[in-house]
Amino acid sequence: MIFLSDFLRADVVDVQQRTVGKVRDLIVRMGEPYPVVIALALRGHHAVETIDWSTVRAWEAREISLNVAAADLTPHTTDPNEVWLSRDILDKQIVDTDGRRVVRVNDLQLQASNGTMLLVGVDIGTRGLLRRLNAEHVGRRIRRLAGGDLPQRLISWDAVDTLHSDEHAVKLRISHRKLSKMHPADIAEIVGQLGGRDREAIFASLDDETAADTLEESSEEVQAQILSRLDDERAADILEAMSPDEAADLLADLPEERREQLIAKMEAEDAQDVEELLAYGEDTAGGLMTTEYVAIPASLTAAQAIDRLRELEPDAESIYYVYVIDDDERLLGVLSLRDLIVAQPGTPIADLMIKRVIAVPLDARPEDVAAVIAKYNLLAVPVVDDDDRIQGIVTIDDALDTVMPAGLRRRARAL
Amino acid sequence: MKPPQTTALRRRAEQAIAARRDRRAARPRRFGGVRKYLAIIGPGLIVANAGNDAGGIFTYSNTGSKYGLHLLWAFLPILLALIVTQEMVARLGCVTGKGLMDLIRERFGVRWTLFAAIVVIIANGGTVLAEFAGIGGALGLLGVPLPVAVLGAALLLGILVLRANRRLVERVFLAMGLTFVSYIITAVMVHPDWGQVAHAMLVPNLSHPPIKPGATSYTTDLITLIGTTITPYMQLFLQSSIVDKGTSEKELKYARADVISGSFFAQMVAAFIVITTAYTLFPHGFAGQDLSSATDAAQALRPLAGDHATQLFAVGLLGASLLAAAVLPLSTAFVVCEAFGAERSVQNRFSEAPLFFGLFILLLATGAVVVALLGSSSIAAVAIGTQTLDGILLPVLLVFILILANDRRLLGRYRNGPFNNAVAVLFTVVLSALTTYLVVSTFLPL
Repeated sequence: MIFLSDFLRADVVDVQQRTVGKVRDLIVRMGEPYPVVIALALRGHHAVETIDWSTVRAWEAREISLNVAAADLTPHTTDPNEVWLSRDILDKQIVDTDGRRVVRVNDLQLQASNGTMLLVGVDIGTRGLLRRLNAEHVGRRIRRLAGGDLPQRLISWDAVDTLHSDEHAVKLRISHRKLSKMHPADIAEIVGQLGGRDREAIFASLDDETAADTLEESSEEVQAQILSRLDDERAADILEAMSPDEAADLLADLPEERREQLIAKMEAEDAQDVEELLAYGEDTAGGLMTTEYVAIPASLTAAQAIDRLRELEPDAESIYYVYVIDDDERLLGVLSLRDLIVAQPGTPIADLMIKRVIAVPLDARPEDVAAVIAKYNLLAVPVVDDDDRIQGIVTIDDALDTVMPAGLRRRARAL
Repeated sequence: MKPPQTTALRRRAEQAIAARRDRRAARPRRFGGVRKYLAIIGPGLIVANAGNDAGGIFTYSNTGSKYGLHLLWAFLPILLALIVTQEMVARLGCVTGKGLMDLIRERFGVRWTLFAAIVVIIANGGTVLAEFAGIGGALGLLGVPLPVAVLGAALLLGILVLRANRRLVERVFLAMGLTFVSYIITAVMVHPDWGQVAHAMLVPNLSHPPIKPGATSYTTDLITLIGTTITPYMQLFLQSSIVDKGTSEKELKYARADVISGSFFAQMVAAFIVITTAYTLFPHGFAGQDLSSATDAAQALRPLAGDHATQLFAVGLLGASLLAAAVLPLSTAFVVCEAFGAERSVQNRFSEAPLFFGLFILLLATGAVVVALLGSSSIAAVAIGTQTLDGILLPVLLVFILILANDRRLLGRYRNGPFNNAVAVLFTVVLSALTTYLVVSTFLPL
């Protein structure tokens, strides 16, 4: 196997075997599936500081020979997608998207293929560290005394995503969007392991929907930190994409000034939802509920109701129950999606609906809401004010979060 | 998705929201700045005051009892160096969002990281030793035999840190350590000549009482004073806690205010310890010689606590030592593992994070065992000597910090300005020169 550390500090000799210098770095062009080495950079000050890989004739562990004379060298043509391996990737943290964790790059694995050199893997193990210290053999010998061998811990380049948050970040991210394809709960896990700037960089690379889902899955401290670092417009966009109850919970933890700035930047409709929810105490049904539910007037027929559902395109989580209301938003009844679909198209929904709706008041305690949901085997329960007007619904997942100990939630990641 | 609402309802809701916004906008914002400061405050204050640990207490007590007010001039230059160093570290933390060892690894590679890690382990290991000396000394004043005290404390700390609520434990120890504010009261009670104190502080003066045979040299004591005030672990710890808090570069000015006020407060307490001991111990036969025991150091609080001075001193020393002994081994193991990418969480099993737990236990056990073996007669010498070691190793870390703080790629427009560089470089050079002089004069009698 070839590693970047084999090349670093290797001697470069020209066609007449005269020493040109020592290797400082390898330069790759980012691309799929693997980045290609396009040049090497020399240590110290030379007339020509980078050498095109096409002039490399042969390489051994400690020597690279060129096929031209030192005098004929020209610098490599810089590429907008180029990355310096030692400077930009080695020793940095990267995301192992298969293992769903943050790891540090101890060495980089290269592979020769049809005259080109490819970056194929990342060494995250002890052997990589020891290799950098020129102590790989010593380490292996010691390990063999105890039986066995030091294992190689390599991750394929396919399965990593770089995290660069400095000015070179943009270049690196062009071909690397694996992170954004991970499950938001896993992205949140990774974001939790990183420093502020890296978090910022990850959120910059996610679309609003994914960013919103990731933020919902993150811890409260992480949420607050990320929102304090994002610019207002972007933060408002992400808040809009979140479900209103989650957005309200998050905003409730921010300093008042910042909260108002963000709400002011949100679309009027989303801002209104969030403001309504913010008015309720955190530990009540009102604080727990979401305003994303489906409510229709009692005068419709089953067919009209289904048409209305299509029109509204509601979120998947809240479509299973359709609430029936009068002109003052008073809760009259509820139907399940199933009732609606199996009914004759012309049946008025007033005839189909269950009239004795289980509902909770705005100030109900979260544990009581969870108990109601559990007792009546519901997926969601409507929240009503003193005049029986529907204000929102609490879905089973939010109710579950309130009664489930934090430790148990954390354990779920390993499954 | 929202329910179909009548236009009348919607209009009413919008009016209500607009009204609420107007009401909020009309509210004065006078306290906005103060509140922000309070949100950021903490790391700087806590870290600077963590410097007043066992090593600090003994060193400052020794400074006052051995030299009277003669070394007080060093406090202002050290304060300036402390602020400049901590500000660089705070800035690195805010802007990069990464720990100091992380940055060393990313900027300098594996070899330099190994070097820095060894320096950090030695310096912090020494400080852990000082904390155990403090624990042994404090419990000794309360009548507990030394081996029982230190080995028991190591066992207790190991269990507490790995199993119990660390926040709560830290708060209890911090509260105990605050007993040292009593030095300020004592200093006032002994009616010092404030004019003389101010003069000693503002006018640098290298004269000092003759040093008795067997006592450490003036140069050593100066390095020790610097080493106990600006410790390597403080820098690592400060940057980590800023990163943990997620303070961003936008909030840098608050982090700076925190660092500056924290340094001022810590140095003020330190100066009061020196003033107290200068008026209580120095005139009574301690001039020119080193403190030999916790019992002697405790006598400084006699004007305040009378016959209970020993107990008061013991409680404060115990709290300060336990706090640092609880925090240091764990944070040292953490930063080293972070730099090498090893598993590092108390939630892991031993087999999952051998380096992390191994280092933690090694530091804790070494501290306890070495202090137990050296015996109670060397407690003060251990507490002070390890601070000299910190002073000698500090320049290494300072050079790393200086290079990082000047890195354009890393900090961009937040990199060091000429004032920072001038102070930090001068400080590093002076400290390195003192250290070199100390090493040379130790081996070649001049």
